[in-house]
Amino acid sequence: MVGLSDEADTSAWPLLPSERNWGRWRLGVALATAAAATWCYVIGEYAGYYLDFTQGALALTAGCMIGMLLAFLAAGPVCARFGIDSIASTKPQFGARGWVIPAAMQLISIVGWNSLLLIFGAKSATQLLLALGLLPAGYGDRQMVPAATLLACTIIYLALLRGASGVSKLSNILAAHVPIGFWMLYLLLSHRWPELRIAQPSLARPDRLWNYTTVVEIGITATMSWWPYIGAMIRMAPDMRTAVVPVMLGMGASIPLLSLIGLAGILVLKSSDPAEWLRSVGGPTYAIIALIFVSLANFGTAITGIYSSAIGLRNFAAVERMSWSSLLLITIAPVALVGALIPELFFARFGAFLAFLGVAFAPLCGIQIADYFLLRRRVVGIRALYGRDPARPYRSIGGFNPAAVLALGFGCAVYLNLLNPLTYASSGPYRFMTASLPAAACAAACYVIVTRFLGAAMAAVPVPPGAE
Amino acid sequence: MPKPIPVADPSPTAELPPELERRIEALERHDSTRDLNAGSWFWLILLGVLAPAALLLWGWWA
Repeated sequence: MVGLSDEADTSAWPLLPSERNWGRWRLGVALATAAAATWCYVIGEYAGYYLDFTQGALALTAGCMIGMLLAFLAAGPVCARFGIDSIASTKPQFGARGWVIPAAMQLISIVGWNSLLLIFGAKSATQLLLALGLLPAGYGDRQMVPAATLLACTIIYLALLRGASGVSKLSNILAAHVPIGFWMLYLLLSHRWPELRIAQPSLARPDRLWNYTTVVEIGITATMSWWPYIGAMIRMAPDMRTAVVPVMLGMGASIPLLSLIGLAGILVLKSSDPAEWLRSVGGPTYAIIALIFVSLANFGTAITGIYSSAIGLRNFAAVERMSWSSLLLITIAPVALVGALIPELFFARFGAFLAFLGVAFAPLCGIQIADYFLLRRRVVGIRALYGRDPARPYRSIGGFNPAAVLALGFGCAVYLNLLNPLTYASSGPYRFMTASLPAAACAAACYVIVTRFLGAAMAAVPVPPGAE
Repeated sequence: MPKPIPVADPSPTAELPPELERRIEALERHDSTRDLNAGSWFWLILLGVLAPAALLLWGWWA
């Protein structure tokens, strides 16, 4: 990473144009590596509960591309323009203090995703050790997963001590996971295609449209929740134009493609984890090679996630001057705790976690898109993003913009009314519209209306000279 | 179209750390108008709207 100072690398400060030197190819590889982790298998697994292979693949891909578009239009413009992370990009909407709300959502999201990744990686490592005959009798996931998760957290911590430079270098190495993933998919398709073609989803409901919409919804929520990662990565690109195709293809397309592994696995072999079925499909040699890469691949994504989360936390005044090593430690700690204490419980509740992401991020994306493109008409001041006085930079009350808070709450309520994230019970027009898209649209409309209303109500508040 | 709402306070914020102040000044001087252009919108609409719509129709009739 040429020209990026250590201070900028490990802070939430904007990057200078000279420091943002990732071209399309480099950004695309970094994004694909970040996205192409074993969580794709679990996403594919959930799609395979409701649709067969062909329909599931097409619906999931469509959903992922739609979700990626929304997340990119939400965080991308401001992040790419000023070289800032996704959290900083929410200050125009939520206010000089209100950004802690999306920051908390980001933290929960990244802790959840990375816990999932590391638990999955630990399970794969356990399978690898079993395949190699290196584990004594009686040892399995229960004993190995907590220890392997803690080991992975330690390695990630050490790799990230160098800041984003570590992310970039590891991305280049671990990008090999993507072709390995396609190779695993090829193995499964070539060996089991006749079975796969007629395999039926196990949890499909009688309503065909409901099944179809639910898989689209899974795709939308999965990629929309990449919102925190988008800012942390595209801040390295010189401008928005450079980032468009890498984001939409590198991240938006690689997720559904690798999810096909989980989709095919759950339909034919009743398991989305290649670590469990590669031995029977490809033989022990294939299994060992693939397991090594599956175990390693999670590091690329987990490293990016922890880095994004740490940079996001930098926006908090309490940790602004904390050393990078200490900040990393408090960022990794929740992931380590989940992986060490409740790995199986968390793994079993992935569906609820996925739906939570939709509840949280769909309204957020709607608010940001409406704010940037409709209300501000692409005018955002970089200085105002970093102003410390909660009363001055943006119109808000005590640093919180009530319009954004109300709109976020309204969007969440719309989502929950359409789809229960715990039971997947749905109502109203869900089967025609998904839950994420109406939630985003309603939050955006609410934000615009309340902002206009408040704008009139607060007209007496002096606006600093030149602000318009 | 409605007027854009006031967004930024361009007055100096003296309490900012010197390095952050330097960065902000540099970005304010830099031409940051390279937002989405027609080519970017073409790719966004193609990959984020038209392609998903085509996939959805294909999947539904598959």
